[in-house]
Amino acid sequence: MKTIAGILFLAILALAGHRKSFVKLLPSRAGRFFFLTGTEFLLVGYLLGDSFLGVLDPATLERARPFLIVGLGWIGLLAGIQLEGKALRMFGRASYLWILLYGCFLLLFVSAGLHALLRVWFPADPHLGLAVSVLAVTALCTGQTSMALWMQQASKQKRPLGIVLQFVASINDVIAIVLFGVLIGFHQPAGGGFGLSLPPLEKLAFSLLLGTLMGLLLLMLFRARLGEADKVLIVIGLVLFGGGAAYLLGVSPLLIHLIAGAVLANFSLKSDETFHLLMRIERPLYLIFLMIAGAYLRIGAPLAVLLALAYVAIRALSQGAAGAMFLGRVFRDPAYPRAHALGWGLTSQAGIGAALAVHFHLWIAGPSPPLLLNMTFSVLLLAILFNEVLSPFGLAYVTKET
Amino acid sequence: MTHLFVLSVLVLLQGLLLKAFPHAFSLTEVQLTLNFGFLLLAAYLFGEWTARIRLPRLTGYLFAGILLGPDVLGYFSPESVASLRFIDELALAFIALSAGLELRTQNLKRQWRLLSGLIVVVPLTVFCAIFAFLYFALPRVGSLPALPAAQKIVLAALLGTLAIARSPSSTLAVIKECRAAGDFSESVLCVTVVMDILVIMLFSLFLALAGAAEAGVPAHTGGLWLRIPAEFFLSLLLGLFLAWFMSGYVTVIRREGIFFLLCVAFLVTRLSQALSEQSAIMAGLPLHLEPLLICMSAGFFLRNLFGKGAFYETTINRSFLPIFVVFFALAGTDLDLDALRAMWKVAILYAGIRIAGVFIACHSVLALLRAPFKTRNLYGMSFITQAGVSIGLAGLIPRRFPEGGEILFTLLLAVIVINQIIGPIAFKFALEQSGEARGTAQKLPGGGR
Repeated sequence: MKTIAGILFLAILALAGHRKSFVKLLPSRAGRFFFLTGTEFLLVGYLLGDSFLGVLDPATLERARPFLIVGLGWIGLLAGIQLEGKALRMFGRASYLWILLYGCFLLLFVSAGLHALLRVWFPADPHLGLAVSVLAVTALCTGQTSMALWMQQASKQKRPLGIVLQFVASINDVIAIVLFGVLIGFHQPAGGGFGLSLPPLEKLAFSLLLGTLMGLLLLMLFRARLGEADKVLIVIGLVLFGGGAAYLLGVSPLLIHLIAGAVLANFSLKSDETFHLLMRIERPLYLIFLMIAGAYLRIGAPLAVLLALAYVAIRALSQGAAGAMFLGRVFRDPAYPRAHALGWGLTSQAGIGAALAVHFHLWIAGPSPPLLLNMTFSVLLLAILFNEVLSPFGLAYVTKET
Repeated sequence: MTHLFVLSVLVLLQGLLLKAFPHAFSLTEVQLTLNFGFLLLAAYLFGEWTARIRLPRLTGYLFAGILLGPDVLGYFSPESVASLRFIDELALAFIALSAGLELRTQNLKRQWRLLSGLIVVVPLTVFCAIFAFLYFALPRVGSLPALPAAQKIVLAALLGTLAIARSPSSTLAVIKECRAAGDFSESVLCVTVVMDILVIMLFSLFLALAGAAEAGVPAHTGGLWLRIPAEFFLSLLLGLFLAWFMSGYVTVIRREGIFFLLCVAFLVTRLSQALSEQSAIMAGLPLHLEPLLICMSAGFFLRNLFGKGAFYETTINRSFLPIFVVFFALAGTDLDLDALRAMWKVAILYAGIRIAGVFIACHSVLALLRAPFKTRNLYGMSFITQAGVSIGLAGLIPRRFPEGGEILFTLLLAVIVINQIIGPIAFKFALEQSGEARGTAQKLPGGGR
């Protein structure tokens, strides 16, 4: 009964959260944006979780785990569908190199900063490397919802800037998902004794193959003239199947579905239609996904909050610096007079960032996960919340004089 | 061809995974993702294939369940099937809601003579035919032990009642697939739904009478005669309240209908269970509120009283195909082929008598109303389906009558297999012949093409 009550509660909150009307009550820019992106549902989940109200108790959360796997698949598919060749060629080949350099810089600086910081509290922890890697990879992610919302409200002149930001964010999201897929390859899932026993790179290759196969199946099924209900069924079926297969094989469902989505985007004439269909269902799904993730959050010691704040600061500074060094060069154009400040516009971390956090949690979940890894998950979720509050200011800074 | 190819790839992948990680398939994570996705896609693709050979898609979903289930290929163990059972609750609630939404007062008023005739005569004829058959045939069924006359009467009455049951879900699925609309399809759906409700009430009445007879107490003890109508009206009342709430949702929010309906479906099933438990604890009288009736009446009131049926009809049509497909595929996994193998002769006879009863009843009613001969046959073909409620209630027989109950349960399952295979095909044919099937290539709720 409690499980059902919990699920009902979640669903009703997701419905309420979907209504924009209650957002209008919020006066401040940051507050309004924070609520429009839906990230507040992490907090709602935390309040419903075992650490507070207890509606979502461990048993309920245990049963909700399949939902998280499906959510990861869904998010991956959505991200993949946006990787259409035409859109990716928008800024020329050189832009990739500079974005890649931006990413490498960010990875290096966040890793170095966090490694120095975490070594103070966890000097000899065997999981230090993994924790730092996960935090650094996730630092690459940028939540695109707040960006899109900002641009919706911005004047016509500022819109090209939004396109640049979304382009950089998409490329970095893909890099993050792939790197996370590689990281997964190094470790067996904590929960069970299954998963492919292959070297990491072969595991990555296997993920690519499985993702391509899923994409091809989707493509073949979508070739027929289908009604909306059929498309929903096919996508749900393949996301469930692919997510379950990924879980069983110990590979990343995000990566598999990202590839499947990319295959569909580049070989199907109906990818736009499919994207809109997925988006129609996505929001409530995403909100429930965030709530479940929030319920797993254990703030406990003030250390997690401190580390999260430090992580946010290191990431933002690295983004600002890397943006000035690399993005400012490639996107130098009269249309983007503040191109050197582009990095500040990428502070939001929800979306793929939250998905990677959940993915990490699923991966480390077991009877007694190591303290550092558990804390890494909490730090990630808290940082996502903090970054979501900060991101409107970053975006305002980038667009100030344009 | 594409569908068959994709289906083969999926079957191959699932087979490989099953072979590589046999123990992992007991995990909830795997059952609710991989297994669920596989069943959904496989059943859907099967349905597409059966549609090409002009059979109902529903038959394809059922066959997928039979083939992949524990009896044939064994891709789904009984535990895997059990883990997906929550779909049944959801699907039944949506099916009942859809059925209620299909019923329009003005049409029902126009056809009241036909409807009342069918609702009285069909159950009565089928009940009498099956009762008589079983009363005389019971001693010859399988290895059934010799039963006392009273028990023979009770069992024949219970099985006779179950023979009345139809399958509203199958009926609705075929109507939606054929995009049928008109007096014929609406009257068939209405009679089917009412007969199912009648069966639930009669079955509990006969069970209680059997209990009272065994205990040697008069049958009116326990407020039995009052309780059943009370349950019926309370369910209707709850349906009215639910319809009011749902219409309020449309007025105030009017979005995310899918999630709202999921909440409603869970709420109704759980609430009716909780109310039964609470009434048993507090008043010592377990009130059995029927979720099927609550949802159906909610749909009826939404359409005819609050005028908000269109929103829910569109939502169900657009989004619930996955639930319906898995529901029928799961029903397929339930169909017991061993039972059919063991008792096929008696089962065919039983099914034949039931179908004959239906045809005789439909002919009599429609002859009185001076309907053409062809129409009489079409109605006869429409009341063959049998599943859902019958399987659920049949499961009570071995528990209530340990002596011989298991054999009768097997017989009932075998009959249901036959009816559920023939029923949808016959009904689809009837819809096409009636001229009400507008798009036979249309998929179940909301499909394209």
